[in-house]
Amino acid sequence: MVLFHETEVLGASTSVLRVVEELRRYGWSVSCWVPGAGPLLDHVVGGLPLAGAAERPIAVSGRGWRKPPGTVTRLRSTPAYLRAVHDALLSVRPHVVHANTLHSLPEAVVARHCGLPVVLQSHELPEPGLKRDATVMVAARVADVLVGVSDAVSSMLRRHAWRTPVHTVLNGVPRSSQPPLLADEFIVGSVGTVSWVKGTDVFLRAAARIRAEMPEIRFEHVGSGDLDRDTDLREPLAALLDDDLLRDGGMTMLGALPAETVLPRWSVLVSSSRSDGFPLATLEAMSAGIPVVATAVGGVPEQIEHLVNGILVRPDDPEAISSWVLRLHRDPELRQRLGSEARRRALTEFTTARQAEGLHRAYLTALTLRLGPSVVHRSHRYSA
Amino acid sequence: MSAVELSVVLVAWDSGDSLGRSVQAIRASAERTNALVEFVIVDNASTDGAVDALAPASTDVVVRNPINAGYGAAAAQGASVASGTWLLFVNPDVVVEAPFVGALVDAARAAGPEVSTLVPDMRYTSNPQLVNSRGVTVDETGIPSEVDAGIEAANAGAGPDVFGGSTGCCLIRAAALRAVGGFELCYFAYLEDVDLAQRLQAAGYTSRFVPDAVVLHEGSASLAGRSYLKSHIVARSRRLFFQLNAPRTVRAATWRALVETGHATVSILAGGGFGPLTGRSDALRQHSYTRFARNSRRKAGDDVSVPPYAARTGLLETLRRKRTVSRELADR
Repeated sequence: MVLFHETEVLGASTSVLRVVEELRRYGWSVSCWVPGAGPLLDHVVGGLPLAGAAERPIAVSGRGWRKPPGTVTRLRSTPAYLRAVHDALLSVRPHVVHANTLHSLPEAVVARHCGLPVVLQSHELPEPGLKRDATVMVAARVADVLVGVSDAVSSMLRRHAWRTPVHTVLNGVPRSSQPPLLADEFIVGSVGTVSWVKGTDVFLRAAARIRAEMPEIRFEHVGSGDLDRDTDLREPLAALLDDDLLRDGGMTMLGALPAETVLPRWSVLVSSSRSDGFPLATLEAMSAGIPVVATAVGGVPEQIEHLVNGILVRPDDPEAISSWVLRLHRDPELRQRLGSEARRRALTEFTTARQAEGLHRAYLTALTLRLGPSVVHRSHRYSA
Repeated sequence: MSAVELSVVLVAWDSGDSLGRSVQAIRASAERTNALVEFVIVDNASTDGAVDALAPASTDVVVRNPINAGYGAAAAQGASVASGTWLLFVNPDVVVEAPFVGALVDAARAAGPEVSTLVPDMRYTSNPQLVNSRGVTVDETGIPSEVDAGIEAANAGAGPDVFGGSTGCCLIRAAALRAVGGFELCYFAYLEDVDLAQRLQAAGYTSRFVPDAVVLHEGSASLAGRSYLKSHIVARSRRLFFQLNAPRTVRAATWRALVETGHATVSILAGGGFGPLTGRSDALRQHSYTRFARNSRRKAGDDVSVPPYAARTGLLETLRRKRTVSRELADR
């Protein structure tokens, strides 16, 4: 049973939903817990058995707790919510519980309390600090197996994992049917929630620089707005979007859309994140044969080798992004070469089959460690 | 395309040549029937290459596990990927004769929807006159045992209705297995079949003995020569079975304690080391899970406390059967 922590269909949930069919080949039947109404619930209904759904009052920050209906109401609702999770576990009686991100820790605690095997997968690389360390320490006590979506995430988990095994399971992408043809129009795209972490401001600054030099290049951004945590970013972003260089079709903010609907018309994908575990957007672009210009943060360097199958730049460097995009615009041959190599690597190394194999191993390990005889499970503890 | 009538589920763990022989014999037996049969082989992290050495047919499904998470987990995986109406669970060391599949298929076709399990006549490979198992049963104090184990086949008295089948070899209706939630995975090995039989009984299903389906089976092929490991796992499974299923009356608990003490003493004296003691203490570690599983079953309406228990098997009778089996094995 997969415990989702968000109601949107974002990268973390998409990566697991995509691998459900592959997991069935190993005999796993996947059901899910969804924390309230939203696009994710609409998405899974009819496609996956729903173990349960309830509005999640639990937040991960002080600001989140203060959001409507307010801290007191949220605290009051929390026991009922956790009871609902417990009831869903009783109904489904899952063999393994997969808590999908560190944010699902409260639900994972309930599963652990029931004596069920728990796999906790971290898709994120939270900012270093006491909060992150404490969260990972608790996660290591609760989970039987921790899973990182990249070596970067796994290293972060291992620092506080103690004896809990940490597996690295790289996200995979489904095989896209056809590599893209070189489009007549040069459109640069970016995918990600509008936020400081995703570096939306850096993307807009880079776009403005490029438009100043090449006004015929257009930009598109896919992703919903989430500036509750980044209120300081509201005004700068509004000012950038109001800039003459980005108005009138120069920059189109498309909102939340499946990336595959826009990727075929893009010539280059830019990932300007300040932190990223192992982004799906870059993998999807690579799989579609679209060259990627990405910041070398988190697990991105595990996907992209500079000038072999993409371009890596330093974070917070709009100038570097703009100069590489301009070079790719001028050099279709380079674009073609990087795109082909990216597609080859994505189709061989970042597949849903390999992701399912990794999760299958993590599930069996958790099962053995939690429910297996002590004389057997000791040998699995360090098998990651 | 016709629907698969029978899925043969084999769990392999360093099974050696016996796996290939078993698959070949069952395939040959199945070819004598008009049933559409598929093979599902779950490789529990074998290192002997026996699964790779099989010549797969187009109807075969192979599931590979990178680690051995136990028989119960592998059997559950096999059942999940299988597409047959009936699932034939067979140990790789079971020797099947030509009429075997036909007898089971005929019985399956004649069985009503209330029949969940068809139980073959398992005899000892070393002495086919002696019954290895004609299914499993649970007595009124919650103690599980093999039906007619160690008894001369001619004198054995298994009737048409039995409590449940041993996963050493039995046919289970896939829909019934799914309806009761499949195998319980906390067992790792041993007694997952009795637990399943108890839940099937509680859900209103019945099991039938098929005397024409005869197979030969020695038992303990996987854990031969690993007596401590085996006695630990058996003791653990027995304790877990009691935690999950056994009646909670003082009389039953007292009788179980007496029988378990005798069982542990015999196992220790037979060279199992302190496995019977460590296994029981290991099972206590699962207290949270067994409490959760009981609550879950209660919520689902699978009230496990009212199946039609068999009459209590006496301690001396249990020990007598164990001694008979041990002598037969020693005489080989």
